Formats: sequence, structure tokens, C-alpha cells
Amino acid sequence: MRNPEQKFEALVPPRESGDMPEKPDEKKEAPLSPEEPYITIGEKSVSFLGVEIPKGEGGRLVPKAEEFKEEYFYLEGHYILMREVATALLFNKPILLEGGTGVYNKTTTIARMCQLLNMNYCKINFDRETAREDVIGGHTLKVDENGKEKLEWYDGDLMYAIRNGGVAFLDEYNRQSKLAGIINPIIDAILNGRKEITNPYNENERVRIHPNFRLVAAQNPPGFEEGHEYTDRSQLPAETFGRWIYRKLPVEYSEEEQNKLLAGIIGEDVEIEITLEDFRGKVPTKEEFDEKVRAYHEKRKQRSSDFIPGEVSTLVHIPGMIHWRKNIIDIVRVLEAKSTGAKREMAKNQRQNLYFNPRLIMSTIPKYIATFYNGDINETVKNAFETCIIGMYSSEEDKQKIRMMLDQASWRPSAAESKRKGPEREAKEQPKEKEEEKAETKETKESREIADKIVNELERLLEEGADKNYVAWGLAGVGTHEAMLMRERLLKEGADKNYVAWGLAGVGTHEAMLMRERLLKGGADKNYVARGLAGVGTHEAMSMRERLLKEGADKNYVALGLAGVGTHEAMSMRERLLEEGADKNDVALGLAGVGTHEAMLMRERLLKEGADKNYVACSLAGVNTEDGFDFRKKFFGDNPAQAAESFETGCSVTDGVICRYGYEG
Amino acid sequence: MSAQVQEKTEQLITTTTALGGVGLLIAEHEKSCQAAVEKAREKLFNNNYQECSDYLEIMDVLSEGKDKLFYVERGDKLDGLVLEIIAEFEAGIVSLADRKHNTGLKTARWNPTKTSFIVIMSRKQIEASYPRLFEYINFTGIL
Repeated sequence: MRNPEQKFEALVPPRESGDMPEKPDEKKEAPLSPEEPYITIGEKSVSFLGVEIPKGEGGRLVPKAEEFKEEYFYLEGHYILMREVATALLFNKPILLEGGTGVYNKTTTIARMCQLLNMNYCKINFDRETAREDVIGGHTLKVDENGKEKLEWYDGDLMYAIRNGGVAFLDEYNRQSKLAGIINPIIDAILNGRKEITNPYNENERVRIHPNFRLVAAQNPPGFEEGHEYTDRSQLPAETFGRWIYRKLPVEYSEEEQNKLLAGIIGEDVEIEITLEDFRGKVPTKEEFDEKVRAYHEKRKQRSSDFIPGEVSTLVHIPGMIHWRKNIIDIVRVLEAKSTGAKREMAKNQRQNLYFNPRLIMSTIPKYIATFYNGDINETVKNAFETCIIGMYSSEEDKQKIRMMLDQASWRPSAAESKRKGPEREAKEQPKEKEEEKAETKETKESREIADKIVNELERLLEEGADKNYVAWGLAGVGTHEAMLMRERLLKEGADKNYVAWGLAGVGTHEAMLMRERLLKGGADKNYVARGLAGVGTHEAMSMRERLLKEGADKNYVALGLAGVGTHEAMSMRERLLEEGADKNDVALGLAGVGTHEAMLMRERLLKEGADKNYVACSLAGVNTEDGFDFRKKFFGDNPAQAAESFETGCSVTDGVICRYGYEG
Repeated sequence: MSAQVQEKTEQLITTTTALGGVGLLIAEHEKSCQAAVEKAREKLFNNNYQECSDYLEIMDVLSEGKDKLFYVERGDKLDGLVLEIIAEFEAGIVSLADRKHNTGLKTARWNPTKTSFIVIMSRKQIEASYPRLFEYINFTGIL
């Protein structure tokens, strides 16, 4: 058994030294943990992507397992972060993590590592109002055995960890608060490699730094970064910065990552893109790893086949939940963009900043749905927003905007009469709903099959000599990996960048957005890129539209490229484009595929304001709602040609996308 | 108006007792603020909530394992040490010095998923408080 002093000093990378930490007895290995195969919890050690750390000796600051009851799920980034922190712990190097709030749950991840490692964990926030007596310690008045009063020193959590070992997690490290001024001299001494520090608050007591004391810090980037503003953060001086292992993390999750994370949390089977190359130190064999990955997926699949009230990890079994997973993320992203920063459109008159804790999406809202689901997913999600988000806004107008967004995003089951109405009906209709679930999966499978067919067919046509530009165009709406590879190939082989950009219509994946950026850098016409954003209503796409407009893209192209996007944000952009002089006909045409009530009202208004009836008719492509049919009857009932035109689908990429893949909104 | 306050308070009680976490009741209108706060207090008392007057009382009540508590802010802005408890609420542990009795560091532990903590503040107090306050609030209700 190692004593606490030996615990870390003995650590060296397992492959390089004979003085290896004791290997966990593989035969006696702990049962498969939820993190297997990426984190292996042995009896005496824990390995994070192969970086093996012996467990500690405990202490009063070791986080308790029950503190981590929340449903969690780790992405690749979490595991890589843990590996890097584990490496820093192993080599006794301080590590500084810089990234956006909530990205890879830095605080919880480090606390969880300490819990798994049985190590003290002490978090100090430089940003709030805790004081020296909370963190370092102070004096209390005690009465000794002779009845004499005397002052006695007590340790705050940081001093306790310095004396007894453990991880001190310095949050908001680059904030210059009063507390930072008090703690930084102590931290600087530790960073300088001192073995002892002076405690000026206790008669200059010399305190020996425990050999297992480790420093981990986290901060947001100072100033502006990727559209985020972090005020009151200062740049670290070179000499301080140089003492840390600096690890840069993203400022925010991409939409794709958020979707993947929430998908994992609600119980969908999500692929983790970690390979053997990501392991260090103790690398498992390929067979071992593949087997554990299989077991991991098997275990997730076996968790439950039905929704269990209160269980977040079974939410995936509620019909419509996958639809809402995407929309919750989308709506919160839009709200965040609109409600923060100096030029915010919402919460304009509120002096208090509205911060959207990432836990809102990943924890609070799913927990709310799992607990209060009443058989109607739309109503439950709306109630969750009322309780978790709408209350933050003081203006009635803002609240209504959010409610409208939720209405527009509502899930509509394919068979309208099967919409769930309450738990009583739920029991009776279970078999029917099982069918719906199957239909949803079947639909995804079918979409995938269609996409594969299109790519294969286009491959064949290309080989037979089809024009590369038409092939690029024909890929519209297909966002599979194979389709993206084909686009890359077409570009390499000389296809026109503008056609490739236009042919990205309907594809809103992160990969597609990156390709758009690359095409723009490579000289593609802004107007084609704008037009090729049709069918993509993500926050990222909306930001790109705004940027293109600022950089001089034609308003009419941007309006056309809004086809298929019926979100509140897109409707507001249309209004603005009209105000700024965009052609009514192009705005009308760019309403193609959008069947919301708001869109129908806009069509009606455009007609009244003189838009060409033919364009408005064409804008009904892909709109097969009751409202759509009523509109056709009302405005084109006397003109069969226009009425027919309103069903037209094949003349443009935009229409093609909409009719092949439906519309957002 | 009193029915509305009671209803909003009731809603927040239902949510926070079911899920645990920090609920914020906001008295929106300055004129009716006092009356709304009193109505909300009454409702909370009727639902077996215990009122705490400062951070130490909150820590004591949490340490006792009581799972329903509330705090009405009386100052111009949210007290910094109450904020610390709110910010660390999901961690379920906080260590703060006992400034009142000068007895050193005090540590409170609680189960965040089973403890409902409701904070009542006016919009004006919120506006004057720590800029990232909403980051730590799980649920909100407007009185």
C-alpha cells in the first residue's frame, strides 16, 4: 500500500518505467462502468483513455458518488479532456483549460475524476464573493482547558488541500477579483515549484505543500472570441501563462455536438468517435477495444425499451422526443443569440444579462420532461420552457415570441388523429404508438436509403460523362458522408464552386457549413452560397446569412435562399429584407416549402402589396397543409394554370430539396 | 392578483419539489412587490417551507436535511454568500466561514435533486445582482 506522500511521486508513464503503478488485477476488474471502454475503473487505479492514475487516499473533500446523480453522457471531447487532465496529474504539471461556459462540463468533469480517483477536490471561484476566510482560512476564538480564550487557526478548503493533497480547481482564473489578489501569491509560489508556502494570515506559518497537491484552472477567453464576449477577463502575463499546460477548448458546442450530447442523454444510441489512436499509455488490443465498444452499445440498448417516468435516459421512447431534441437546441440557440450582447433584440430593456446555462438544455429541460410528461410532448415541452426560460424575460412581447417559436416547432405525428392527448389514452393506444415509433425509424432509414441511391446514381452518371456542375447541383439535400466526399472530389476535378455551393442546399451539417466557409474563402460567389443555404434554418446558417448580407450579398438571393426555412428568425429576416427593398417576388418564391400560419399571412400580404401571382403560386411548392390547400382555393381557384403551378416541384434545386426532404418550420 | 401569485408560487413549488434545484420567484412590479412577496411567503409556509434569513441559516437548514426552504432577499441585491450557495447548489456541498459566530469553516451537504430552494427577489434586485445569476437558476416564476 502506498502512503499518501508516495502516491503521486511514484507516477511515471506506464510504458517508460519499471516503477509502474500497480496494475489493476484484470481478473478482478470492476464491473463494466458506463464509461467503458474509454474510462476503466480498476480496484486501485482509474485509466482515462489509457492514462492510468492510482486511486488516492481520500479526505474530507472527496466528492461523493451520489453528487453525480444527474444523467450524463460524454462526447469525444470529454474523454480527450479527461485524458489531458489525467496526464497533467500524472506528471504533476498545472493545467489551464480555456473555453466557453459549460463546454465539456469542465467543473463537473474534474470533480467526477476526483470522485473516481478518491481525491480531495476543492473548487475556488475567482469570480464571486467568497472571501479569504472561506478559501484560505482564518482564526476562531477557542477556550482552552485552563479557561483561557485563544485564537485558533482553521483551514479553508484550499489550505486543507495544500496540506493534505488533492486537486484545487481554480475557476474563472483570469478574473481579477479581490479573492484572486489574495490567492494568486500562494498559487504563484506553487507554480514556481516551491515545496513550502508562507501563510501570511497565520503569523507567516510555513506550510509544506503536499506532494499530491495538484492545480487545475479554467477560464473563459479574455475579450471577444468567435462572436462571444467575455468581459472583465484579463490576459495572463507571459510568465504566469508559461507555467501552465494550456489546453484550448471550443468556445461553444457546435450544434451537431449539442445534438449528439442530448441524444446520448435521452437514451439514443450514439456513436463515440474515439479510436485506439486516442489512447495513450495503456492501449488495449483492437479485439479487446472492439469487444468493449460492442458491449457499451449493447448495454445502452438494453437499458429500457419503454419510457419510464422520471428517467431521462428513456426519453427517447416518447414519440416526438427526437423531433423536440433538435428543436429545443435550435430554439435555445436562437434565444441566446437574440438575448445577449449589446445589440440584442430580446430582453432589450433588462439590465440583468440573460445567461443560458448549458445545463438548461442538457439537464433541466430533459429532467422536467421526464418528470412531467403528460402524454402530450408538445404541451410538456412548452410547460418546460414556461418554467425554465420564459420567466427570465420581463417583456410580454418577448414571452409571446418564445411561445410562438414553440408553437411553430410543435411535433406533428404523421397520422394527425394519433396525436397523444393524455395518459389515459396512452395506455389504450400503446400498440399504435409503437407503430409510430417504428415508422419514425423506418422513415429515417428510408431517407438514408434514398440519399445513398441518389449518390450512387450520380456517381454512375458522372462516370458516364455527366457535367460535373449538374452532378454537384443534383446533390442538393443530400448530406451523407458519401455525398460530402463526392462534393470534395468534384471540386478537385474542377467543378464550379458556385454550383457546389448551390448544391449544398438543404444540407445543414457542420461539415457542410465548413465547406461553405471554404468555398467563400476560395472565391465562390456570395449569392450562390446564400441561395445554397435554402432549407437550412440552423442558428449557424442564419448567422452566415447575416454575414453574407453585411459583406454585400444580394438581398434577393438571400431571400430566395430562405426557402424551406419557416422559423421565427427566418420570418423576421424576410420582413427585414422587404423593408430594405428586396423584391417581393423573390421573397415570395423564397417562401417555398414553408407552410406555417405566419408564412401564409405573409403570402397574402405580398399578394395585396402587388407581388406577382405566379411567384406566390410557385411559393406553395411543398406546402401540403390544410392552410396551403385553402390558400390555393382562395387565391387561385379561378385560375387553373396558377393553381397547378402551385404544386410545381421540379424546376429548381430549391423546390427539389423541399419536396424530397420536407420543410423546416 | 393574489390568486395569480398563489398559482405561480404553487407551480414553482411543484416543479422544484419534483426535480430539486433553485427556483427564483420574481416580483415583477415594484408597486405591488411587497404584497406579492407576502402572498408567496404565505403559500410557501402552507407548503411546509422553512424561511431562512441569511446564508448561515440556509446552511444550517440544508445540513439538517430539510428539503424545502426559501429565502427572501431584503437588501439591494442578492447577498454574495447566498449567491455562493445558489451557484454551488447542484454540487450539493458548500464550505463558508461562519462570520456570525466566528467558529471557523462550516460545511453544508445536501441532496440537490431532492431539495427545493426558492429565492424571492424583485426585478430591481435581480438587475442589481451578480451578472451571471440566471446561469445558476433552474426554474423561474413571475409574480
